[in-house]
Amino acid sequence: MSRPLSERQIGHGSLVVVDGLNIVTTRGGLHVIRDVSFHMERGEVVGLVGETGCGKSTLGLSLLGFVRPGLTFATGTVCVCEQDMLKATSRELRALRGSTISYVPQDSVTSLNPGLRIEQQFDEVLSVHGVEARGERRARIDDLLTQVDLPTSTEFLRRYPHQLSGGQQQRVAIAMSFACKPPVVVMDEPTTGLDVATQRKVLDAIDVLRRGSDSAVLFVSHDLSMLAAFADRLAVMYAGQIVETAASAHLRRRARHPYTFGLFEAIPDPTGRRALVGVPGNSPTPEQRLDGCSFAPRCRYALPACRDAEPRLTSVQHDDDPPKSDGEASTHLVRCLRSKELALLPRQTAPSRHPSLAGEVEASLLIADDLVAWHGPRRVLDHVDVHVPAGQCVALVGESGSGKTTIARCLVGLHVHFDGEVRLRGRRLERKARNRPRDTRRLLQYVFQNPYSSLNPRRSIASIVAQPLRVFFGTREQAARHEVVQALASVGLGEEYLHRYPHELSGGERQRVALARALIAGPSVLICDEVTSSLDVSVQAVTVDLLRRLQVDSGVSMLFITHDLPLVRHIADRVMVLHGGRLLEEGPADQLFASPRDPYTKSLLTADTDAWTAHRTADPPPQT
Amino acid sequence: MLPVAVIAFVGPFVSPHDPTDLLSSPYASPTRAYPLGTDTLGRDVLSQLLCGGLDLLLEAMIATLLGVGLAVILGMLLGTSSSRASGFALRVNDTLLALPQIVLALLVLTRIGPSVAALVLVVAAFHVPQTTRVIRAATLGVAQEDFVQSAEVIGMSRGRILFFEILPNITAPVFVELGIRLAISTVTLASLGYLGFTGAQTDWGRMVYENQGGLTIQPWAVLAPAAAIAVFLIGMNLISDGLARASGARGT
Amino acid sequence: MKRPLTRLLVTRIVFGLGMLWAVSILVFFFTQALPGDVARQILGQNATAEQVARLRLELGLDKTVVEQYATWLWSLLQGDLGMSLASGTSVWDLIRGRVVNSLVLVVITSLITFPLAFYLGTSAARRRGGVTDAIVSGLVLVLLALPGFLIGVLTVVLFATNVFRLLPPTSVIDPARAALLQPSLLVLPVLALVLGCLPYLTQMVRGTMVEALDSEYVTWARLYGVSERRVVWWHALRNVAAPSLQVATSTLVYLVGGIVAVETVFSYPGMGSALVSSVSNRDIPVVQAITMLIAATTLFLYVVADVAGILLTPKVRTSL
Repeated sequence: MSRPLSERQIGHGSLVVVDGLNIVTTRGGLHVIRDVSFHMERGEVVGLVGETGCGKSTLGLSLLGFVRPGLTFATGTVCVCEQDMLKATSRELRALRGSTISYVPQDSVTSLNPGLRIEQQFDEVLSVHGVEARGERRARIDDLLTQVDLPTSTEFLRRYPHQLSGGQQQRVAIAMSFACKPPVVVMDEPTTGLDVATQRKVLDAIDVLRRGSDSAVLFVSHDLSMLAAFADRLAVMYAGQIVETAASAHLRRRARHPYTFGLFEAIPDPTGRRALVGVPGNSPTPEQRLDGCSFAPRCRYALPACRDAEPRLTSVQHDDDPPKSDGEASTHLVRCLRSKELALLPRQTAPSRHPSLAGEVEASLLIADDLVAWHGPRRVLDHVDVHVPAGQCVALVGESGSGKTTIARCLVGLHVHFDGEVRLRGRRLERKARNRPRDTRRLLQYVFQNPYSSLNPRRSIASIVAQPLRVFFGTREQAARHEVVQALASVGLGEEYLHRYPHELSGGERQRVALARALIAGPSVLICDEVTSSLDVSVQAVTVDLLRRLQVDSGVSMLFITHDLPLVRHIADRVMVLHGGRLLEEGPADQLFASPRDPYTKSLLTADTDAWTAHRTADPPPQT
Repeated sequence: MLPVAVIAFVGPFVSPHDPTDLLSSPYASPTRAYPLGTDTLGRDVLSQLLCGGLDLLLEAMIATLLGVGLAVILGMLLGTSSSRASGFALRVNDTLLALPQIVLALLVLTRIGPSVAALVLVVAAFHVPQTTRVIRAATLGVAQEDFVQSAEVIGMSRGRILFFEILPNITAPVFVELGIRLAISTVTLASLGYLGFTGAQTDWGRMVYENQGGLTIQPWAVLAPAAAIAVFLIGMNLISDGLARASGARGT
Repeated sequence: MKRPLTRLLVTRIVFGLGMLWAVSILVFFFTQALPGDVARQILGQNATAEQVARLRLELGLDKTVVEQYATWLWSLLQGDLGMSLASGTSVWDLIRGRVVNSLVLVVITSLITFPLAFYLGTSAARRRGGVTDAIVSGLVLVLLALPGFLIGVLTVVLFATNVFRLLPPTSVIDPARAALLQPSLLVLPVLALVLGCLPYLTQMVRGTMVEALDSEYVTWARLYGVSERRVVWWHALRNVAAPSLQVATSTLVYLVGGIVAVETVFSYPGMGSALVSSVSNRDIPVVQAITMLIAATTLFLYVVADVAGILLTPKVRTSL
């Protein structure tokens, strides 16, 4: 079944063997997956990591012999448990799916049938795969639910999906995928969009279940730090290809591909010992992919030769590797011409931050006193004070539902159901933005979370950025051109963007445009609401870096709202931690990161430090 | 569809005979003088066909523009105002839907009698509730977008937000509605014409009714106007379907 | 569960009655309260002053508009529909048989249309882009465009007069016998109504089915080994039911309007043709009675569909 190549490279008899797989679009035949080969062994957790649009979900689904409409298998083979998934009839596929290989969908909220009770959903998986006896099914369901720490009461089983929380739905979906003890499970971003605590619960559930059924798991995610801790082996995808694969512990120390390394460097480091470095540019779409190495345009190590021919996936041998027998080291494969010569080492220098300024809170530019806000009858903010001192960056950290966005919306006058006082430069502000004087509105600018929604799709970039000038100064779009060009330049966008429309821009570029629109008004306080949360991690790092530079250079005060506490380390002078509408802890960033007082803050910090530092302390990186 | 529109708009100027003149014996078969024969009273079918579409299409267009125009304004206002106000307005709107359009039209015409102005107003009024709903939904979708909120934060006036930020983003549903509503207006007006309530001398719908009795002798008198109506409406339908598909494809 | 359901029913019924009341004002306004001499308009220019005076008394036009409305509404509530101006008989006697005749048409048409539309819509959705889909979509596009009377006339051309001569071109039901006992007279009107209602419903069923079959939950069900048949009947159907029901209701309402034209085409003695002739005759009490009857029917249908839609959607039902 497999060709000589796969026998040599990835061993016959593996649980999953993907060989030379190509998946193309039905229209135009563009490659979405290019020449991918990998294998999985029994009980192994393989992390498939990559950024938006790299094809990781498509690759995950291909293991089930499935492609989304609009795509088609071109060449290559996918074998699961010695079964050729691409040649199987639909009847054979039905028998395999769910029992031999199962799938956990990306979004359990839309993937559980809204019209079926939890028990009916479970029952179906089991009965479709031959568990006929009702009692047997019920016993199996109880067992699964117990393992993922969910109630087994009849009342719970009779619930509909919408009566469960997001984390519970996700655990139900995961438990369902293990219902028939499949040897292989594919999980598509099962923890994305969940809070840190919920995420940990879900990961625990996965771990218990996979050990229980000795299943191999292909874990698809964009979250490298989480995967590096959870998976045995990592495969990094870029532009439809696997660019590097190795054991997790190994890859963390010895990344050889500049992209893998860039991803690691872009992970925020709460210890502050390492700079946050992004990867400039954007991932190419299938239409944009060129000859040669697809990462070359973004690679700071690229040579002319990199653009000529596509590098092959080759095995990496390390000098200090124990000889042959180990087996682990020989599975380190990388797709880079310069893999042998490049020594990629984390930059140990701390980011160029001025030391966080303590005190001076009384002289704050923007003050919110004793905010109590409601959504309908529900109180979402409980006596919260916010102080943004002049020239500083204050980070407001909290998980979804903590009320952090409500604070921002109260400050800028979008949310009006609140008590308390908002003052800008000592002047009390009206609740509603429209009732505030023009100058106040100008001095307080707001950048929205979602750059796909914050730019009017029917306006050119020039017109979008010029909009505040027209409202505040009555400047016509033509006259504003010079200032618009300057504003765009300050966020690193050239004049060629003037006549483009938002849909032609990537997420990172859009967020820069939104930033330019806020800056052109000449604000004294800039409120950034989760501005990086919809961006890929490599772009996030670049954007945070830009924000920090702009803030320091222009002296504007900033309220940086985020759910990502480690990220804050790279930008904030002061940090406020919000939970359930209450302010838990507040203080200068250095102090808070060094010695967090509140247990909740500690839990937010340890979640990510674990992943990055655990192995590093055990095995420090080699110094040059 | 285009040829039908041309017939309707140019027809009255090239019509060979006065469509109301009794020229020949009833239900005469087509001859050189009367290429489509004559009708139940002996009038020339071709001339009637050429003259009978103008009023229908004009009225349909005016009613559609009036109805959809009002609905767009109403829908945009409701989509950006408080939920209580818009809830009340929608309830009032719904009352009109309790009667099928043609029944509502007949009700209004009972006292007023065949009146073009009343007809156009009734048909237009009937479009308002449903189109308002569609436009309101589209507006709600756009109004939640951050770029509208962003315009609000910097203090752009409500009128400007409606006109410059929201309207350009709901043109697709507006055009789709225009297409659908024009078809519905034409159907209603043709039906009322068939039932004899438009008060027009010559009318494609009325021609079908009057000559139905002579189908076996002189089918052209029925088939010609029927074909004109059918072709126009099918064309209209194809266009709005295409528009809906195109905007749907762009939306995703 | 019991109490919220009762509350739901009560609020919806009260709301429906409120709407009906609003419609009654509308009906009364357009038939009686419009400015101008009603009696003169009804009787025409040739009527004597005495005739006009008598009619004014009969209609109670000497009282204020509010009083007139109150009297009218009160007798309506007592089931008294008034006397026909044209025939002098009681309105109820006049339209009773016609209501039954129309009901026969509507019921038969619904019994054919609903299953057929559901079948066609589902088949087209299951094999999207296939031959069935192309044929169904094409037919829908054409039929959807045509007004009811045109479809009626075309069925006459096709089956009664010009192409085939299988069936009578008009359906003058013998009032002495039940309409159901004269099936050959029912075929063409029912056919015309089915062809008029079918496309809209089919299109909507196809649309919601396509949406359900494209959903993530269906994709996932396929990925854990559920057969295609089960995907349609077990996974998709339950989520298509509620929206389809809403559309079926609008179809029924459309059907009620559609009988006006179709009954006229076939000279079928039903409510629709009665409405047309009473509007031509300015027989105001008959127009009032029929429009109120139609409004009551549609509002009843809307309320039923609303409640049923809520009960069929777990997400809404559980939050009652």
